[in-house]
Amino acid sequence: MSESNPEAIKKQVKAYIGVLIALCFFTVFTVGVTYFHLPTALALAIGLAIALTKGSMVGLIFMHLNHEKRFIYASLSLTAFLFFVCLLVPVMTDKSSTRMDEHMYHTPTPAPEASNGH
Amino acid sequence: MDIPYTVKTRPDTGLYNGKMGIWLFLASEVMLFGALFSTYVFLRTNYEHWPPPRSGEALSDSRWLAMVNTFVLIISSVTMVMSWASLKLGKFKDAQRHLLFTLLLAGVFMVIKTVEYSLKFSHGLEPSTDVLMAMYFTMTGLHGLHILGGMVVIGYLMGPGKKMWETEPERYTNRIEVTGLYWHFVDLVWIFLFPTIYLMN
Repeated sequence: MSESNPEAIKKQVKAYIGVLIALCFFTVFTVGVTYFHLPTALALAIGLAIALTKGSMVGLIFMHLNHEKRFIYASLSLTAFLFFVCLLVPVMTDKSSTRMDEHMYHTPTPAPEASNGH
Repeated sequence: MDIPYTVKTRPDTGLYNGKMGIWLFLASEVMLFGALFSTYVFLRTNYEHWPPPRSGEALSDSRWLAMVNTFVLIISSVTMVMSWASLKLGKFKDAQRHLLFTLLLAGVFMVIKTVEYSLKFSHGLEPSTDVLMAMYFTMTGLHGLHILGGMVVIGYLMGPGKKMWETEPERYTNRIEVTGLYWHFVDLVWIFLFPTIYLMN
């Protein structure tokens, strides 16, 4: 961002404070939602939605993405696409039938003591 | 020989070097953290019973500390961008004060993180305990290293680096902006890390 107009900068400072308040509110809200013991899928959806909202505010206002150059938008679009490929392809293409189960948490039985040989 | 486009923007992209560089770097960081989040999703969806009992409870208990850390990072993001805004308005002392606050808040974050790690270790929870702890220590540890790196850069810009304000104020302002972009990204990662690790387990 390269505005040098003092009035524009002061206006932005007000936006920064507004975003700060909103981020604090959403943070408390996110923690508060966990006390409702919602179904997992719904809780995940709400948590993700709140995180995306907060992330968008940081990106658009603090990182000035609301008025950036096309080169940045193009780079970030490609990055976002590749990110989702990285995130989803392993999960969607996993053909393993074995599930990592409770046996992973099983405390191993101590090995029997070796005899002294006498 | 002067390096071109450290202040003046390139005619093709409309960006100065530092800004283009930091955004490309942040794109690589998205892939780094994205790979870790992807690993977490992959591991979690393959466990029939999640979370592992002891670790899940420990992380749930830590959520208040993590929430405080979230506030700390959000406020540090504001102080960082206010530092840039102060420089745009020609207020160098205000900018330095905001940088100091950012640095102090980052220090607070690291102290709270250290306390959190100590509590885990004292309860016998370590990276090798189970998958959740492995992911927790890896992701928050990597994030913590990024905070430390940011602190080094901010410290430099408050120390030896601040001399540039006297000779090339616009270039110094650009350096603060670029550092701010990195810092906001680190905050952004935490915004996703906090609910993923602490609240959804």
